Amino acid sequence: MTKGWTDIALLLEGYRAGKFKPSQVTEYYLERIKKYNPILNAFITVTEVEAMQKAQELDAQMDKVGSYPLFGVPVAFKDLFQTAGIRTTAGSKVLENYIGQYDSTAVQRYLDAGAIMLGKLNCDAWAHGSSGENSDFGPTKNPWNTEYVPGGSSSGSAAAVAADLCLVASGTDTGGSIRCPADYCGVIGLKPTYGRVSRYGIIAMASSLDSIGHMTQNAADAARVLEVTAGFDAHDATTSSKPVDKYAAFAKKNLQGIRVGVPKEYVSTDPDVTKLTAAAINKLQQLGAQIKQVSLPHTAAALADYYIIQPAEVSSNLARYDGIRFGHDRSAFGAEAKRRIMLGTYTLSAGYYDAYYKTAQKVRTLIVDDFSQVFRNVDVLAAPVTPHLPFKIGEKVADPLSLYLEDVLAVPVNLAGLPAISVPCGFSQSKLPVGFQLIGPKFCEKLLFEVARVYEQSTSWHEHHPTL
Amino acid sequence: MDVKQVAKLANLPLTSAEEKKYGSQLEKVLDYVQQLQKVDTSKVIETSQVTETKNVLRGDVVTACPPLLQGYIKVKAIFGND
Repeated sequence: MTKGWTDIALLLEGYRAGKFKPSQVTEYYLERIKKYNPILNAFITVTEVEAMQKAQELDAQMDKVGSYPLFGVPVAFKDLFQTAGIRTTAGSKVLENYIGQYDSTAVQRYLDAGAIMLGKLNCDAWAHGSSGENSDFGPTKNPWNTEYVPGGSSSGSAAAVAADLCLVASGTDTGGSIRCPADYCGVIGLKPTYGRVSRYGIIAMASSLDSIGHMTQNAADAARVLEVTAGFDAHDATTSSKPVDKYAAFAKKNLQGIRVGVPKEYVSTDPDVTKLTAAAINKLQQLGAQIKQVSLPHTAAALADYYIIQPAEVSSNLARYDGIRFGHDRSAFGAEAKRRIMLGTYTLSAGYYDAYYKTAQKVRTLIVDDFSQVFRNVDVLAAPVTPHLPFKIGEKVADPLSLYLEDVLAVPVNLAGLPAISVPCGFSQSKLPVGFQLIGPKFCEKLLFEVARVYEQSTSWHEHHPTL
Repeated sequence: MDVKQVAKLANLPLTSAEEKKYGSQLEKVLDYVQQLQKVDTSKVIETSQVTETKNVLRGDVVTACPPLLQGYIKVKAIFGND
């Protein structure tokens, strides 16, 4: 079947016009998964039977396309999102046989909106990693060049969307885990405001930082999906009761009146990334935005801060995996989980708590204040997502600290709980995708989508696809 | 870092090869995060969450209980009826 859609709007239009049915669309994606997943290792579990069953149910309700915002939209979930009756591994051998009893709130909202689940996506085990190499189910490959990492931890999510193995993939972002792989794979990656999307039923990494988002091929799709997933959930007391915006009702044709801050501390070490980010910022200016240099003085401290707070919360969250209630015992943890558990246990232990954890919580306040200050003078910030290009698989595995440094431009956003979106902005000379991130004040996702969309429509980087 | 002691606190069974490897890797990370000590935090209060919400509670509503009598819950006596 030739593909008659490139985004959710065209898919729904095709359904409405009777050009194709959900079962045909599902077959298209399942065939692609069969063909390309052995190369990419993006999926841990493919739910072929359940997907076809749901698709056929929708085939019989073609008159109801308008009643479901994601009618017949093929999605896949990072394997951290619990799904009733379908195993959820968190990319770890500890949970290789774990089958959950209920759907996480986000999954429930996708499915209630008419989405079709194609399967569960590979990720760094427990979402620990920036390269996708820490999965106990093997590394995911970058669809643009399979010798390179796709970024992590939502590695399978970015690879699957980039390779067109699904239209939408969910992800989690604790310290860049959506934005970094989106950047490395050339797709849109949305990290919403902390508390905008429920964490209920999603395996926790660091609870004060975890943000639930998604990857798509364009900004409009990302906006449509957030309209479905966002909102208060009685099962997650950190969700906000603020009303959910009509994110996909786009109004802006240009960026007149938008003030874009460029933080001087957010520098890339790669000439291609520097050049392409500068070009993207130039483009924003051409589109009408006013560009201002700004400073976030505690940026350098943010990474150290993150690598105290995050492992502390990790060690506490992973304490529940004792092999008694579910999964294997603690010897089944991989190296990275063990490192983070020990790091967190150490910084929280008596005698070290004040020096490490309490200090880190204070520095976190300074990072939050940095952002509050700059958002008095600008509407959004534009910056690189990672300091350099995707690297080769295996290049950095021997040195965990060098991998931690990958997160340097991503983590301040998580510490402050802000929304950010990674937007493709070109290709390196080595033909690898590069993205930049737009960061906004809390609950300003609407503005991020508007800016991303105006930029995207004037550049069309999102129309490039990898050849597999 | 006393890796043996920390692994014990974290209930992580480690081989001696792992102890050695993680020990040196974690020392490097601890050296790196030491830079926080240089930040002046003397007048800063801690941030433990960024939700801007406070004391999120659900209503304390009793939905299923035995019959009420003058604001008390009526149950059968357990020490006899005298």
